[in-house]
Amino acid sequence: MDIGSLLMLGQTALELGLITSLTVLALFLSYSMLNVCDLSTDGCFTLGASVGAVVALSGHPYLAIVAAMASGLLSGLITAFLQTKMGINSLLAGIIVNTGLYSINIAVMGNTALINLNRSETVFTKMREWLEGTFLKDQYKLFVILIVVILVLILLVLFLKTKTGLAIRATGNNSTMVKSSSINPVITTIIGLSIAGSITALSGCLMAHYQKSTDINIGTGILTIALASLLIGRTLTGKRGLWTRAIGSVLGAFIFRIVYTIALRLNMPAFMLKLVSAVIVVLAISIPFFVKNSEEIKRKLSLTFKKKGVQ
Amino acid sequence: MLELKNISVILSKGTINEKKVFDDFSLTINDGDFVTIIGSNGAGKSSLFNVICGNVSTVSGSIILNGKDITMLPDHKRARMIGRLFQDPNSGTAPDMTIEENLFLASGRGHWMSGITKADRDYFKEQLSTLGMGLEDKLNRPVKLLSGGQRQAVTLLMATMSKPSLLLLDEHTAALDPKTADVVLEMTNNIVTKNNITCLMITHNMQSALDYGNRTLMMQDGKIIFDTCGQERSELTINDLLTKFKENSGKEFVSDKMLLS
Repeated sequence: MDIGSLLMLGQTALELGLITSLTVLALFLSYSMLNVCDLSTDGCFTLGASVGAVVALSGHPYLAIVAAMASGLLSGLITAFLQTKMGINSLLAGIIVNTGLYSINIAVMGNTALINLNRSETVFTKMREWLEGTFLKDQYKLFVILIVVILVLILLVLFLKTKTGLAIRATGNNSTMVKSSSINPVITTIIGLSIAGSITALSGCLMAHYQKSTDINIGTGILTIALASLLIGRTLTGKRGLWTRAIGSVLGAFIFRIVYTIALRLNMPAFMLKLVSAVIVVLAISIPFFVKNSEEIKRKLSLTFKKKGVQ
Repeated sequence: MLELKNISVILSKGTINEKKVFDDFSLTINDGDFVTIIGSNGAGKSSLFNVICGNVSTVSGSIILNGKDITMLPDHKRARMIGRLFQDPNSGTAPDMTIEENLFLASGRGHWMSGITKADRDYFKEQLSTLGMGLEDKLNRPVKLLSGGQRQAVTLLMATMSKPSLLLLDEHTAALDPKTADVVLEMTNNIVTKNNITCLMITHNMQSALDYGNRTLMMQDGKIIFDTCGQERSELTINDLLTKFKENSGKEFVSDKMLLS
């Protein structure tokens, strides 16, 4: 394989990694900060892709972004409402919304499971026109994605440093303390999940525009992939400041994509992606657990072996 | 002024664990009072706080704070007027967040979209320096790295910074070592008297129950069995309290923790 195609592969990995990094940032908010595992992420990603594709198809590529984010916000709002006001367990609320979104997504796409955007204008084609004749013209895709990711990252971290952001973080950290600071944890959960939902949908919308197509399964497994990326990022940065951790999450998404691309080069079939991501999540969560309890595990093992020795 | 009028509370109603905690219970606390509360386990001391804070709802009766009926107000709304500290130093702070972030959330400074400004930091430093624990130089340190005493001091500051109408202390020094407990108790006394905060303090330490505050309540089985203040209180000793307990409840005050401390 020559250098040229290697660079191409790296570039695609970078672009796809950055698009999923938006979902990782959404999880950074819901999972790391608010301490809620939002299982509606898959459906919400697909919702963003469907809405983004349909609106772009009707000739409004920029409006597509806004519409996708609004739909994601609504989806997050419903998930949060179910778990805070309707007495439904937070995991179950996510699963329920995810299931409901399947029908909604098909309906949004106009009773089909696949939309093609080959002839339609997208944010990427708009950017290509815009950069025509400049030295950046070949990098228009990366340019769009970078702008969006940097913007979302900066806004998200700045938001987390405001009083509302602090209240969201405190809700995930110690909800008793939040109540005694006269903050309603229901409100912080609703705000946090709504914002996370809109970022997830934005991620889905960009993915649909990038691939010039979307289908009902575009978001399947994205939660696990994003979670794997988030945990890779956490391993990289440790528990440092917010900026470092947020940037680490984006890097995590990129690293995950690189690992996946390499695996594909080693002739791993594409359908193995989900299994790889599942295994990475398991490793990323359980390795720190085993390291933490290594002394105790060693002791237990040595005792077990001693017993066997006596017999 | 805090008034509890004919409060009745039943826990786990309709189950085999149903327990009547309060039956037609009334209590009035005057402004600026610093009341210490003693009583054996299960006497209803913490339940009393839960009722005042709104963690436990009443079956009948009303709770009036500063002339406002708060019987039906949810807990997070009451928290604007009521500060509370628990025995567990971890319960009052968000451990992964820094001291300044914790203080900022509790302070009521700034609006919902504002960050921590330099003026806020200066204010927090000034407030922290009154604690005399050297915390004013550690604004950016996560609270989980602080000792139990330091955490409880920060929580105390958080609870009193926005000048609450009422401060509830639920054995807030019981989990600390004796020396730190004394420091935190002295600090509490300073803050409460300096700001003239109305305060209720549950304690297992009979001596501090008499040393601090201006009124002492003794509780048993959801009732106040002894209520003392003024001259009578200042002449009381621990032994007197034990005798009073035996007289009024017909039982021995059996708690090694109380006798030894």
